[in-house]
Amino acid sequence: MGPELPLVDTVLTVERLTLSFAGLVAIDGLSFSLRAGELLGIIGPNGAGKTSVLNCINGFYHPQSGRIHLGGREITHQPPHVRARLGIGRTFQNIALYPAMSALANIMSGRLIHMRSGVLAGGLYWGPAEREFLRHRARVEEIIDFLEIEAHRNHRVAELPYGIQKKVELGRALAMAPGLLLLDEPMAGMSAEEKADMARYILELREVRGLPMILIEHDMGVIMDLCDRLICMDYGKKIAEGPPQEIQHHADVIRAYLGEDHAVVGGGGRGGGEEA
Amino acid sequence: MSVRPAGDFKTSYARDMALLDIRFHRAGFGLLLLVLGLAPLLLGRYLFLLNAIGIFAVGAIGVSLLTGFAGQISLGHAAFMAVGAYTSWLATTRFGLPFLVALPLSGVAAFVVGAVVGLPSLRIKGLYLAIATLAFQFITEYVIIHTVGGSGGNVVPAPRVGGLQIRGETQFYFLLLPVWLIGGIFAANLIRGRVGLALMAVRDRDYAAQVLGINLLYYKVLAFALAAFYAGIAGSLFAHYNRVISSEHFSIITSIDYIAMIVIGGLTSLWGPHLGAAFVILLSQVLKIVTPAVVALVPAFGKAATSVREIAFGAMLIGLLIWEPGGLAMLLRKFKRYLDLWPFTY
Repeated sequence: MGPELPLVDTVLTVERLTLSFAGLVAIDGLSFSLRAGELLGIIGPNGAGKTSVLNCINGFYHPQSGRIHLGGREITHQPPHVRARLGIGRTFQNIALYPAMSALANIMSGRLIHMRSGVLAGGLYWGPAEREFLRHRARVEEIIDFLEIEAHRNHRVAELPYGIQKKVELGRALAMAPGLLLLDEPMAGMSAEEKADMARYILELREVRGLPMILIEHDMGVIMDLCDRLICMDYGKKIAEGPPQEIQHHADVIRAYLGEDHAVVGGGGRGGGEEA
Repeated sequence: MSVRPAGDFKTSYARDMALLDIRFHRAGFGLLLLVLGLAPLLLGRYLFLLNAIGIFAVGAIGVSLLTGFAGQISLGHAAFMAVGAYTSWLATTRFGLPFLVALPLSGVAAFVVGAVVGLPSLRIKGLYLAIATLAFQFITEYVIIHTVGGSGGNVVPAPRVGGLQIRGETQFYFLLLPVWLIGGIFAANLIRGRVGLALMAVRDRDYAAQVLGINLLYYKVLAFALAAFYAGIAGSLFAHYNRVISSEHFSIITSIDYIAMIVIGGLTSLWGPHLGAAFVILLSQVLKIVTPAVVALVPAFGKAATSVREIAFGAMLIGLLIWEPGGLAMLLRKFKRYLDLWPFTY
C-alpha cells in the first residue's frame, strides 16, 4: 500500500493549497490526495498548519490559492454546510458539541442533512415527519450501540466526562454517514484505555465500512500503528510523505521534531511534539 | 440527571419521543384541557385575564422559539405584533375580509417582515443584534404614527366567524382557545423534530452546526420568521379583542414584557411562554389592585407607585436569574421530580 500505486478512486485531491493570515503563511503550496478507504495521518510540530488543512477542506478557511476536489467535484469555493452535505464529516480538536443538548440529540443532529420534512410537516409531526424522524432515530441508535454509549444517551453533553464527549462527537460525525471523515486529534487528553477504544472504532470504520479518513494525532505510537500513509508538515510545508515506517526514519521529520542532532523518533510510545 | 419514573417503560422510539411520554402527563394534560374548556364557568367575570394570557402566550411562544431555542435575541417583538394587528385591521376594514382569513394573513405578513428583519442576524450577534431589532421596533412605531392613524388609535371590528358575531369575553375565549392550543402544540412538535434540532444546534455552537450541514442563514431567518408569525397571530387576536389599536399598544415596553415572560416562564421550556405570560399578566393585575391600596395607606409611597410594575418585574427577573435561571418551568420540573421520587428521595 505504498504511494507508488496508481491513483485509482481518489476521494480527495488538494492541489498547491496556500493559506496565509496577514503575512503569516499557514499552508504553503500543499498538495496531496486521499484514496478510497485510506487512512491518512497528518503529523507535524505545533503550528505546522495541520488543523488549517482540515479547516480548508471543510470550508472554514478560504485558501488564497490552490484547489480542492472531492470525488471529482471542485469544492474550493463551497460554504461549509454545502461541503457537509457533499459528505465531509469532521470532529474538532477542542470538542464542539452542543452542550445544552442530550447526547442523543447531538448525534441526531448529524442526521439533519438526511431529513427532508419541512416546517409545516414538522409542526404537524404526525404522519410523514414522525415516520422519517423515527427512521433516523433507529440509525442513530445503531451508532450509539457501535460507540457503546447507551447509558449516556439522555444526559446533557456538558455533564458527560471528556472521553465520552469525544465519543459523542465521533458519533455525531458518523451520523452524517460521511464519505470522508476528518478527525482532529480524536485521542488528545484521553487515558490509555480510552485511546485503545477510539483506535478500535477508527480501525473498524476503515476495515468494515471502508471509510476514508484524515487523522491528525500527536500520539506517534497510535498514528504509526493506524495509518496507511503519513504526511509530515512543518511551517505549512509538506516535508515528507509515505508509509509510517519510512516517515519514522525520515531525516527531515526527525529534524522538524527534534532539531539537528537527534537520530531517533517515534517507534514505541511518545515521539515528541506531544501536545497537552 | 435523567430521572425516569418507575414502572412506566418505553418500548418504542415513538413512545420515547412522544410529547406527553408517561401516563401521568397524559392524564394531567387531559385535566388541563378540561379546566381550560370549563374556564368561563370557573372564572366568571375574571375570564378577561385568561383572554389576555392566551393572546400574550401565543406571542411569547414566538419569543421562546427565537430566543430560547434558536438563541437570537429580539427587542422588536411588539413590532411584529403590530404588523399582525395592523394587517388584520387593514384586511377587515379596508378589504372587508372575514376574520378567519385576516388571522392567518396577519401571521403571514409578520412572517415575511420577520424574515427580512432576521437577515442581519447572520452577521451581527448578541447585544448588537438586540440593538438592530430595537431599531426595527422604533421604526415600526414611527411608521404607525405617521401613516395609519397617528397615536389616536384605529378601530377594529368585532370578529365574525361564519354568521356569528363574536361579542363578549366568553365567545372570544372560545375563538382564542383553539388558536392558543394549536400554536402551542405546533411549536412543541417543531422543537422535538428536525427544525428544533437545527435551531438548537445553531444556538449552542454555530460553527459546528455548519459542519453538520446546517445553513446558518436559513435557520436564523426561519427562527425570526416563525417568531414573527406567532407575534402576528397574537397581534391580530389582540386587535380584535381590544377593538382599538394604536402605536402605544406595541411599544418597547411590550417587547420587554415579552422578554420578561419567557425568562420568568423558562427560556428553553415548551411551558415557559405560557407560564410566563400567565405570571406577567396576573402580576400586572395584582399590582393594579394593590398599588392604590398601598398608596391610600402610605401616601408617601405615591411617588414610586407609577413605576411599581417595572420595579416588580425588574426585581423578579434579577431574582430568577440568580436563583432559578430555568424559570417557572424549571421549578415545576423540580417539583415533578420530587413527586416522581417521593417518598424515597434517593
